[in-house]
Amino acid sequence: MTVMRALPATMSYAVGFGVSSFTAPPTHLRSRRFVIVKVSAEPSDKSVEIMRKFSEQYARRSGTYFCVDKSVTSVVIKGLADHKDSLGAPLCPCRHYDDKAAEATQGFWNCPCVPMRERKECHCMLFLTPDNDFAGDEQVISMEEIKELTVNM
Amino acid sequence: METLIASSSSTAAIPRRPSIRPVRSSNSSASTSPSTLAFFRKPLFGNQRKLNHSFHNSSPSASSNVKLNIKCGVTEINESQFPEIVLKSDRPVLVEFVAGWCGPCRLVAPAIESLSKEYEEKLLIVKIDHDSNPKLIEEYKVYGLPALIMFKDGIEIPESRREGAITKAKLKDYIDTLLQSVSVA
Repeated sequence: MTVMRALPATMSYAVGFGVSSFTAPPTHLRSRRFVIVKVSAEPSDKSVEIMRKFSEQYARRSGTYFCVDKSVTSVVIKGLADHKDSLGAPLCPCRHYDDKAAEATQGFWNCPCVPMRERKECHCMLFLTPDNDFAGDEQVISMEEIKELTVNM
Repeated sequence: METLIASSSSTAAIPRRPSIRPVRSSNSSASTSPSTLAFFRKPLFGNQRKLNHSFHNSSPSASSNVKLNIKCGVTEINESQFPEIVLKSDRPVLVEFVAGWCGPCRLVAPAIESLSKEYEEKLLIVKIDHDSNPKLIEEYKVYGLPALIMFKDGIEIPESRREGAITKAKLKDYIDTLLQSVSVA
C-alpha cells in the first residue's frame, strides 16, 4: 500500500514527510538504493499553525497589518515555522546568521524581534504599520490561504 | 536545514510514477533517480535555471557553456561560480542575496526578473542563496535580506548596497543611477 497514492494535493502538508532534517533513513532502508535528495524542508503543520496564530495575535496587539500581498505573509509565517522546527525558536527568516543556534538562544532575532518590539520595524513585511505603502487592512490569515499561496514552494 | 526525503512534498510525482514501490514507513525515501526528482522539485521562485546550469556544468565544455546560460532572466549562482561570473564579468553585475522563506525576496523577484530582461545587454543580474553560500556572505557582510549589491570590474560599486524590499519603479531608478555613475566614471 503506497502511502503516497492516498494523498490528494492539499494533504501533502499534513503528513510529516521531510520534516525532520536530522534523521537518517532507518537501517533496513539504507541497504536499498534509495536516493536521498537535498531539498528544503517544509515546516510542520503544527508549527505553521502556531506561527499563524501568533502572527494574528501579535498584529492585533501591535496595531499592525499584514501585507496587501498575502503571499509575503504566508512565506514569512512558513519561514518562522521552519526555524521553529529546526532550531526550536522562530528566528527571523529574512536574515543571514553566522551561527543560527546561537542566535536562537540569544533571542534578539526571535520573532517578534527587538526592532519590531521597540520600533515596529519588521523588514520581513509580516507586521506593517498602517502608514506603510504595502500594508493591507487585514490582521487575519487562514491556514488555507497560507497553503494556497505557498503551494509552489 | 535540508532534508533528504524525496518526493514527499511533491505531489506531481504521484501521477507520473504509479509504479513506485510501496513505501513501508512514512519516513522512507522514494526510489526515483535524482534527475527525475530534479524535475519534480521546483526550485525557489519557480525557475529551472539553476538546475539547467548544473546539468550544463557536468559537460566537458562547462566553462564555455557557463556564459551562454546566463542569457535571459536571473540566474542563481553559488560562491564557486561567483568569481567567474560576477568579478570577471564585462558588464556590471547586480547581485541579489536571497533566502528560502523570505517574503520580501519573493515579492521583489518578479520585478528583478523583468528588469533583468530589460537590461539584458547592459547589466547582468544574479541571485545567491544565503544559506548555501556562507563564505560569500561573510566576505560581503550581508545580513539583512534581500540585499542588493552592484559590482563593476570585480569591485563593489560604492553606495550600491540596498537592503530590504523595493518597488519596481524604485529598483529601476536605483539601477539607472548606478549604471550612469559607472559609465561616467
